[in-house]
Amino acid sequence: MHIEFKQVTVAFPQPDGGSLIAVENFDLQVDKGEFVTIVGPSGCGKSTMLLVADGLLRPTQGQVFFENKLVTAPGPDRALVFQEFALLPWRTVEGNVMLGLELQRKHTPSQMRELVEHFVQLVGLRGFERHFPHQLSGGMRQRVGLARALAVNPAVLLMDEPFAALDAQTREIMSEELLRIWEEDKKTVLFVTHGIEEAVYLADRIVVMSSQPGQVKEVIRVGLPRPRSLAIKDDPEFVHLRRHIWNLLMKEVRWQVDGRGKNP
Amino acid sequence: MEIKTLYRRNEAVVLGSVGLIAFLVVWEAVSRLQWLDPVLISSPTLVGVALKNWAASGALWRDLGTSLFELVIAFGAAAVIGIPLGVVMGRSRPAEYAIEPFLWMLYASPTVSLWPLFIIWFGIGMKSIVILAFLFAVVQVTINTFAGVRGIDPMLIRCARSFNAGRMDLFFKFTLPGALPLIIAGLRLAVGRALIGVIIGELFSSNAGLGFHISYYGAKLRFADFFASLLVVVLVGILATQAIRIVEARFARWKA
Amino acid sequence: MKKQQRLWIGGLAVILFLALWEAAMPLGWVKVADVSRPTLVAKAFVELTRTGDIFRHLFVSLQEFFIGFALSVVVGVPLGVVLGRYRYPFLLLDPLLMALYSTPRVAMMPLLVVAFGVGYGATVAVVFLGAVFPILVNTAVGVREIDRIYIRAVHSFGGTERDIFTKVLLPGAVPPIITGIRLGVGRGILGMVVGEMYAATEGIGQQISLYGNAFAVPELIALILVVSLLGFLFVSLIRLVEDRLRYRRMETEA
Repeated sequence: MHIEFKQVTVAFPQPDGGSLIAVENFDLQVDKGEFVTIVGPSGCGKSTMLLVADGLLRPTQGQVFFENKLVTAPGPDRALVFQEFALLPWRTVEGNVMLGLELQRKHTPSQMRELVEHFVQLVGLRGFERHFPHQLSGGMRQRVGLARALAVNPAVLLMDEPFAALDAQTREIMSEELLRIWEEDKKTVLFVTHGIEEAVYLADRIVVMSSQPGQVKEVIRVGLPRPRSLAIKDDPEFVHLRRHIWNLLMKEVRWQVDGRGKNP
Repeated sequence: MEIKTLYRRNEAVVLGSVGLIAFLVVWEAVSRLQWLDPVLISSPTLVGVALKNWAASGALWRDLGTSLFELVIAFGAAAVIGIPLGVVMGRSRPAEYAIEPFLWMLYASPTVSLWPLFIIWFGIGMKSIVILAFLFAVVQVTINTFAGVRGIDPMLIRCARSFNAGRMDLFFKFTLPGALPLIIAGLRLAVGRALIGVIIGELFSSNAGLGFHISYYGAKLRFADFFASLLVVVLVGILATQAIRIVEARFARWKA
Repeated sequence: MKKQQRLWIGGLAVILFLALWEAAMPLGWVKVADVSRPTLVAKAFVELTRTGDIFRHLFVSLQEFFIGFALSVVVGVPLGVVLGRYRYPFLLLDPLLMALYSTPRVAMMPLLVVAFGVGYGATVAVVFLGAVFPILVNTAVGVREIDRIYIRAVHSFGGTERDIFTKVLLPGAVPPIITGIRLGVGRGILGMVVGEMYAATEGIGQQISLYGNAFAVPELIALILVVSLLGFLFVSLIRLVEDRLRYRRMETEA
């Protein structure tokens, strides 16, 4: 078992004195090399779970374990990929990919340069090493974010809605790219999204969450064969899974749209 | 629980007050313990006494009145002249190009060095002081008004045109209200600058007003009174700026 | 096209002003002694540079300026970074800094002269006080406005507090810091003049005061122009740096 969430609850204190429960009693076990997606409506706390897994946030209750050790702070074994890319605007592509390596302080400069070159090529950005983020498209920027995370050779990749800021077509292409890159190494991945298609396409298992407060609604195993191309989205099994998850979530979203609270 | 929420809401004020009080305590201590020359740095208590005496003798109100009078005139003139000037500059590019060099000169040069000239031209006394303060303030008002008028969202202008708004309507219903936040911000900055102008003028050559009080006691090395007058100046500045902030809040509420 | 227009119309306006100014005396609008004329000012300027005196004073003034300004950077930037990064120090110090900022430096001159000495010491102090605030405030705001996501990114890769300072806060705040420096230069030069006007034996400001009190209007105006030119030069230089930096770094929109 690679990652384990045990009864994790996260509550945020409010300025008026009360507290907002983002996630409640979250249980999940992730195996090594598994690609797990977490899908749910806005506000269900899925991004919060990633932050807890990375050690950037302490759970109000419950614990997270990585390889049976308690997670309390970020570490070299887990790397985060951000929805907003989070690339330092004053660094080039090379400089950004190198950031994680710099902070690790494990390699010599020449080793770092080699690694950077390798991963920039892996994500398909050869030739753009000297570019600045503002010169790149959204998809390219996210590739830089991915390269940066992969460069530190983490055991676990934590991806927080990484394609949410991209347009629909780029999104599709990026998810296919992601699987291609993932197939090389088969790292453990926790991928958060609110796109159902994306969740099914990428995952070995899908965690469907409800919101207010965020809880695990169902965990679904995806049996589709790998490697998967985008064409698999027409496969009947795929469609079935997608419909099933949509039905699960529809009630949640309807409640939100109607402005009503959680059903008892 | 109650106190915690009260604190959280007013954190800035609470911590600010703590900082202020801590500073006063340290100041008093340093003076009493003579770590620094108490004649030079005085102390909060001595300053308080000086302030009390100043107020009790009635001179404070007289000096304050003089300075405020000059401030109001200078500031008023700056607003009355600066705003229309900024509007003209904002609406007409030729006007902008023509006026800009002079505005820049005024902004960039040490206006205060013109003081001897003012004495020659306007004589020693309130006139020169008011004019100096006016010059300090009017540049700020003009620049801000210009920016406000020029910065109107072109989309809004297009919208006004599509509704067949005439030039008067366009100006009074679209341009001016849109420019108001920046104009009022300019006024807020200008009042501080006008105050500085008043104080400088009184400092250099006057026999009344807060600035005079500062130079008089400074020259006599009576620093308790000196600090007392500085304090009053700072308070006037803060009050004047805050007053305009309140107006700003009302009229510029819609600006992000 | 617009830029040309700007130069043309602006230039025309200035020339018109100079012409009116020159003609004001013969036309009987004012007395020469009062207002002088561009030609007299130009003559005075030439005369001042010829005797070389002005360069000596300029040298002294610039010394005072650079020392005071260097101090304001050395104090203002680190303090600004700290105040921008940590909330408590900022909230605690804010009223005190505001009060200091609102005090006209001229008013503080008696104290500064006694504390730091006539001329050199007091002037350096005034330059410092003038320049340090824009630098401090712009640095603090610049640091505060750095998108938190960069800090989180560095955190997530195991970065320490020091890493955050060196890899995010300082590089990220460079543009606002330079802006603060630009704003500080103007106030610093003003401080230099004012300080010297009040109590100095040498320097441009002292010269201004000298000629002013002697009612030597052409020389006075010439000196004022010199100071303005100086300020313009410095600010333009820094603007160049600012522009080059902005081109290289253009912040990405979310």
